[in-house]
Amino acid sequence: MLEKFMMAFFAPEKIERFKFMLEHELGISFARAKSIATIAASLFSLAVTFAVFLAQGEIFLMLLAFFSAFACAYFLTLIFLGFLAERSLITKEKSCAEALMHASLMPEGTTVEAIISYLAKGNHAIAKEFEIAEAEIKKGADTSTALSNIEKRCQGREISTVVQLLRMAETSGNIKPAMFRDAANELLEVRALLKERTALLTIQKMTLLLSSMFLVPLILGLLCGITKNFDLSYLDVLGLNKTSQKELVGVAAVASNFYVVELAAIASIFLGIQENNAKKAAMYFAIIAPVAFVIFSYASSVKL
Amino acid sequence: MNPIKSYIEFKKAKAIESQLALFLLSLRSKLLAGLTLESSLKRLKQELNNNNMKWEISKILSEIEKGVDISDALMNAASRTRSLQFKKVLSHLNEIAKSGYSKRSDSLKLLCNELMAAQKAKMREYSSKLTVLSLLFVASAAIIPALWLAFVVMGSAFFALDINSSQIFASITIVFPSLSLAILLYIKESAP
Repeated sequence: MLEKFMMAFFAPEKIERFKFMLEHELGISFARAKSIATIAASLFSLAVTFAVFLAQGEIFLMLLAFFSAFACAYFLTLIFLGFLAERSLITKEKSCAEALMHASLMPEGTTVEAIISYLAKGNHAIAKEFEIAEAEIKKGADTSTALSNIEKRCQGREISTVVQLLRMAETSGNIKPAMFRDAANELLEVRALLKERTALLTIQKMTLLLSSMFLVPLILGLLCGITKNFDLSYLDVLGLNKTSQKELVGVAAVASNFYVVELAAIASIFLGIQENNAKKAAMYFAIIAPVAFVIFSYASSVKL
Repeated sequence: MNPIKSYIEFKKAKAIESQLALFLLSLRSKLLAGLTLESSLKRLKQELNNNNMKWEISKILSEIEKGVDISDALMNAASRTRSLQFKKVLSHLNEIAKSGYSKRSDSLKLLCNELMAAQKAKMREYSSKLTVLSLLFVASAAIIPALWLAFVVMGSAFFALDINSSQIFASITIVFPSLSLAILLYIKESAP
């Protein structure tokens, strides 16, 4: 059932990749990941239902809390496992420059197999991948195929660079340590540039998230709360129109609700554009809009 | 020239320029590893994430496959693009296609350093601009609407402002979101 649900949102290759990442990076099968998610979701939903019971909620509310908490916790657990697998892969990517630096220490004329074996014994995250490649070569696999398998397993830009370099060295038989050092420097330079760019995008992202999710609903909510709770009896004393004043306050509160949702939509679209992923815009909206709405409702109910 | 077409070309050139330094670094390492320019471009085409750059490289490679000389294919690409930086890179590649690439001259490294320095300068400029723009966005999205609300709700009672409820509704649901949208569009457009 879960797979059918996932198929509705993601391409089959992405689902297969997710399953493979869980198995390869975390050492857990998809079935086991589903069991972990079920256990975590059951515990969480029971805790939430118990909290509703203690708050003397109705049976309908308890059922609603149970099912919604279960669904949220189930998918969040799977997302968390995916995040852990992704993080493990990023660690491997980051260790590529280090691995290349190690490879550059080998004397000129060393065979690619010897370099693979040397890298497999290294103390860096990608060593595990070279260990698998070394085992494959020992079993009789072609060196080039074993290297390609690393690329297929990891699918990262930096890992791909390392593999291509080793494959080129293997094909040409021309292994120069300087070649690895140059490639390591290139990876570090590219990483520095990308980091700088990411930092800029993070400022944009945080400004959008913080303002649309917290700041705007909070300020507008507080203001709506203040105006709603005003004692308008003094208007009679001053001979001013109390009825139209009340109407204006009501319209302003409704318009502010619309504004909070509109801003959440604008922010979500921009975040989606920033990440070149339209699906993420919907995801951001699903997070920002409810949080903003809850903050706005809470802030407008606070009596100052 | 059609302004929409001109704008699209400008955006395309900007997208290419943003990836140029990374493209050159990868190309240089492939050339130093002993690959030919053509096979380096073929490998780079698979690695690239930027659609505009990928399209240009694919176009060059398809022309070569059709039998066009590599120098001509590179010059055709230079005549297609509006980016001066990309034109400069293509002219460099043309030289490499004619005389090969050697670690001794390493002209791509120099060009790459120049492009990276230019991009870093642009990023620093944008970063300082972004701080002000972020403040402006927060002000336009939160502070100005709040002040406006306070003003119209209270001011209408005391200052006899001629504002009705539909005007208040339109100002909050149309004017302020449009203002925020305009600032965000400006932030996006000025990104390096």
